Amino acid sequence: MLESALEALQILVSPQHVVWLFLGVGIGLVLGLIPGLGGLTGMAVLLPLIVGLEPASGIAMLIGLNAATTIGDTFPSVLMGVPGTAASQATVLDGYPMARKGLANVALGAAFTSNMVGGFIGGIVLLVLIPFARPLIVGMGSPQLFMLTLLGFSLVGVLARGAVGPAFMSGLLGMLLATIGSASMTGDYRFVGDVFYLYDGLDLSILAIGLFAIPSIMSLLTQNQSVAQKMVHQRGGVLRGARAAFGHKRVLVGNSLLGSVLGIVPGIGGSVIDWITYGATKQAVRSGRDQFGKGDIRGVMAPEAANNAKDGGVLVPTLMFGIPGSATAAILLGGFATMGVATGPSMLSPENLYLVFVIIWTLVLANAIGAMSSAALAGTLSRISLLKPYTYGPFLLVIMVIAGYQAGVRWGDVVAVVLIGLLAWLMQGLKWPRPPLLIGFVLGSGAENYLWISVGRYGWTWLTEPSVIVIGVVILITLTAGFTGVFGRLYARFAPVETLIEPTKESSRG
Amino acid sequence: MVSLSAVRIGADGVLLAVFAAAATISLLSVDSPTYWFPAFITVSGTLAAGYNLVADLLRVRAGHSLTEGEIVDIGASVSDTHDDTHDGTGSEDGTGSLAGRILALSLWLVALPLLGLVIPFFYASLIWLVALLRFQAKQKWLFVVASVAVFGVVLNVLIVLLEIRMPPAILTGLG
Repeated sequence: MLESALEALQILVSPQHVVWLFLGVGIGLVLGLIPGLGGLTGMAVLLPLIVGLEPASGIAMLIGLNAATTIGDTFPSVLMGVPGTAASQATVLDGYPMARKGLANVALGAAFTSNMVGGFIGGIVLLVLIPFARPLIVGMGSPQLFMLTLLGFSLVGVLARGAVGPAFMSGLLGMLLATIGSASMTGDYRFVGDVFYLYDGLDLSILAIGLFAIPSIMSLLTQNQSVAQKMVHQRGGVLRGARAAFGHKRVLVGNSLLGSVLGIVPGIGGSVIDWITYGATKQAVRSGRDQFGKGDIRGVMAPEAANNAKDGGVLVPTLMFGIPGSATAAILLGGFATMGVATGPSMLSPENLYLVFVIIWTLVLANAIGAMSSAALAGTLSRISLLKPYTYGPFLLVIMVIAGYQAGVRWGDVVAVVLIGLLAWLMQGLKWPRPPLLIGFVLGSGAENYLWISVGRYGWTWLTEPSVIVIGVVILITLTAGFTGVFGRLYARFAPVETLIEPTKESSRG
Repeated sequence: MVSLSAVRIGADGVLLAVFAAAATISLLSVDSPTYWFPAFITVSGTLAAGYNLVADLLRVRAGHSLTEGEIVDIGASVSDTHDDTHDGTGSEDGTGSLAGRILALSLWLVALPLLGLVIPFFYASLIWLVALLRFQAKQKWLFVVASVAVFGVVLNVLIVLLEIRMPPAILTGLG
């Protein structure tokens, strides 16, 4: 095993492969920077280019791109309040308020440190779990997956900050939108009327751009004020953020592990994992919980660490069973097939083991290179928060509309992006929470499919399975916490007053 | 002028109607498994929307505004202001009311796809940018021309490298 690890490292650090890795990371960072164009676009474009490449080089480029996209997407999330990809939405919650306080470089420093540590831990989890993953994946049947989607939805209550009713209504609206189009299990069409465009259902990327990116830019243009008036730390802000991140080791390591484990579960993508880890962190922290959403550095770290760590987890079922854990993993599988790499249990055979290590090393190196490159750029790019919105906003609107068109290459996509953008802007003005709508949309189709399979296969007896009951209890606890805020009140009652104040100051200052 | 609270009550009503209509469709077809899950969602949504409408009406009746207070939201908002600036009703350059600017920008956004219906989208977006930056943002011609030219080159490079497809001008058949 050690021999394979060293052989893989030797292959990977050879100049030829390093060039491919840097190319993948470079493209990934640029794609992450442009709102609406995610790693999926990049991997789909790169796929034809890897034909004829050695497996190690092709793997280096594809995984490098995928890892770097989730690092580059932090820039627009923090600096403009525009999620760079669907997986960086929760980062906006605290990253953007930090930028408004002139702490953009601190937030970016903390985010990139979390990306790097998350990617490292994700690689370790991949290494450790591959031999033991089988029972975990086999144990995850449709009933458990259905309950996990409900658990994800119940976090809407935790995120609601008091407005639990509107949050659940928004979440249910998201689920309703997810049911539009063809029912995947019967093929019948629902809620489409005579609108041909709706037959394929709504696309996640269109909804994400319309819900968050367009309203944010429109608001900035309306105000015509720079995001921040001045930088609090003209120099050393990024380093300060990195130090602050290491000061919250539990948040860093805990969310990296949680992200890795959630990544293993097929179907739970980054767009849900970031919200789950954000909500879980908000519930788990001992102090300053009310600072979440107002510029708490832990709210930036949690989703960023989990987002990069999940890439390691996603690769466990992808490599072991050929089950793509996400859309990007599906393209990755296609890439492996193109290069003649067979996934499945044979990956662990002695002659193929070095490839597993190539993947692990690539994941770790890509995250390190991506995070360090981004950190080097962060000082300069964070000055975007000092620019007037008209110097970049209109250009981003054009890019978002074009990005929306790529979803289905239909004129209806352009109309849908603009329409959803304007409606979401109205929602924001009316104080209707928008994040639950997206969570409901993402979880809706999965929940229906898993429920369908569970009932079809087990009747209703699956409800009595111990694992289902355990997840059910966790859901009830989460819902109770969301509706009553009971944990926060209990802690406030028993916690010493000074611990509630000190870390809050520190966390918001970084 | 209609208050935001009144608009929200109206929106609550619209959403209740949407959920109720979807619930009716789902329940009428509930014998088909296609509508089992939608029935569950829409009935829950109807209850939640009804609860919200009643709760909002009660809050308005008690004299509270429905658009004050905190919710979890992400990104920039029109109500964002810097602490040491003004009240958020006017832009930094002081042009126009907040409502007027929101309406104007909404129309500008709608204008982009409308322009794209008659001119190939690449050129439509450049024309739209020039018009918006010059006439809405009142930027200097030098900035407008230089920034749009640079953007055009970068966009073209991205279109070629990433094989990005652009919407055709379907009304004129161009593009």
